[in-house]
Amino acid sequence: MVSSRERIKAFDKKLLKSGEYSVILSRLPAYIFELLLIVIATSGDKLSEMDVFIVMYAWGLTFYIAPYLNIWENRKNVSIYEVLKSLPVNQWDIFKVRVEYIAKLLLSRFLIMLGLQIPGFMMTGKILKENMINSLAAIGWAALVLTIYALPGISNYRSNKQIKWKAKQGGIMWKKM
Amino acid sequence: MLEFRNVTKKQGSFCLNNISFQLEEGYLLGILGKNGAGKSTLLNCMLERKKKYQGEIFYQGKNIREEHQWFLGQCAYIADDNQFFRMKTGAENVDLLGGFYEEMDMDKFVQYMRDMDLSWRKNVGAMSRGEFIRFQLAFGRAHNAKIYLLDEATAGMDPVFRRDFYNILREILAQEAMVIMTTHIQSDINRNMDYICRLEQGKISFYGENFGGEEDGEFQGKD
Amino acid sequence: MKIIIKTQGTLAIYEQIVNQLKNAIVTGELKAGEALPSIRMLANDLQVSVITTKRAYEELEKEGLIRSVAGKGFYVCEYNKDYLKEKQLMMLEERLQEVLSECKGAGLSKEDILEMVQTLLGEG
Repeated sequence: MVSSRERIKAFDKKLLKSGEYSVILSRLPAYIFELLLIVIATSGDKLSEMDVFIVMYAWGLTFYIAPYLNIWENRKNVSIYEVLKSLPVNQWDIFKVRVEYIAKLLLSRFLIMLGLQIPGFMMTGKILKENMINSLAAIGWAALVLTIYALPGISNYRSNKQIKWKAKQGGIMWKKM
Repeated sequence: MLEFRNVTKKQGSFCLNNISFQLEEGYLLGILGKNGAGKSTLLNCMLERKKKYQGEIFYQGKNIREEHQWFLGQCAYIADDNQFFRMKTGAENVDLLGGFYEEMDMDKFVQYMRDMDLSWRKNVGAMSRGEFIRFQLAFGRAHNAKIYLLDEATAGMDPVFRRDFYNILREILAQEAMVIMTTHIQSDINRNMDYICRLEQGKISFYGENFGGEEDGEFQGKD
Repeated sequence: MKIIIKTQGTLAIYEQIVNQLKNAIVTGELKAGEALPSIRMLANDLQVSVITTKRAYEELEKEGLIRSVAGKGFYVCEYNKDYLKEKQLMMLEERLQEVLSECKGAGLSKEDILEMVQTLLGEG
């Protein structure tokens, strides 16, 4: 008896392998946003001055899990929950597996952020409190955003309003700046 | 056996009112009803996850409210607007989605597609309506579905295809599966159907055996 | 043997099947002990529902013309050919009687009826 989770993970593997665009290319935007991680973890600015970067970084991370949530079909975004709607698989199990991926992603980024503290520590002998707070805020905010992003209801809503939503987010960020 | 017991559902303009009936394996039920009469709502009660209906639906003795995932595994839902991966071929869809079913046989799928003269290497999105319906039938048969739900599958079928279509259904029925098909076209109701049900405004106005009597008279006001 | 279904008739399809099978048995086309196609096979051949052929077989079984053997299917019963023929004649006579009454009621004279019969037989 293969568990539901294992089936979903096997499906995800096949899904990524058979992707229209190579996995690397589709994550290109994410790689660019990853540079923000360095800024967040090393700049030493107060939290309120970092919030734009933190928001943008969360957005960049969505590119990692987007392939597990959307299919790009004919210039339209279709939610994976929609594709699997009539299949014998629990939508919440699908969601839980995505949350697992998000957790792994955020854990690795957190460890990188911790790692980035080391050179600074070597040089100044102290761990910058601001950097730790910024790092935690970035991870926490990303966790919230990504989890909501992955929800079944949101996913379906989103696949219909993809472009509007991203534009709205962009608008919020520009206002802050 | 599939059994609906006093199923009622009110959701905006969609409604079902006290639907009760039974259907045994190996038989074909045709549901006739104007658009809005409740046909799709009836099917949706069985398929949707939220299960917002009163009354109970039993399949093979199990309440599908409780065993919904198992039920979906037994189901083959065939409709125009089913999603699938449109940019992938039929075979790729079977490969990707098949893992969620207890038994999905790729060889059988290929054989069924071949029998129907269809290419399993054609993108689902490139299939015509008729091809798409037949692909979904092959998909269902490949995972040994026992209950087929066809939502308006016969609309716009030419007579040649229609005959082949019922021959395919017969093969399916012969393997102890049941088939429910809905239509809003009166003339789609024909002598191939074992049972005929007429839905009017969410209620069953007729449900009876089809002995091949007069096509019109039989279910206009009996039983 | 070939069963032919008329879609435009007053008889329900299952009745047409019953009649044609009955005739085949009476005329000896279907022999005693002969196996009949299964309900599904017959439905397949005639492109009708299983309910239809099932009902037809049930009717024939009720009349004692065929019997079902568990797990094997339907077989033509051992029968007295003359007795069956007699029964069939009686039924036809009854139906003819009905038609004749209706003709009389419609005001047709004996000559009209005979003329009609001859014309119809001439065509048949």
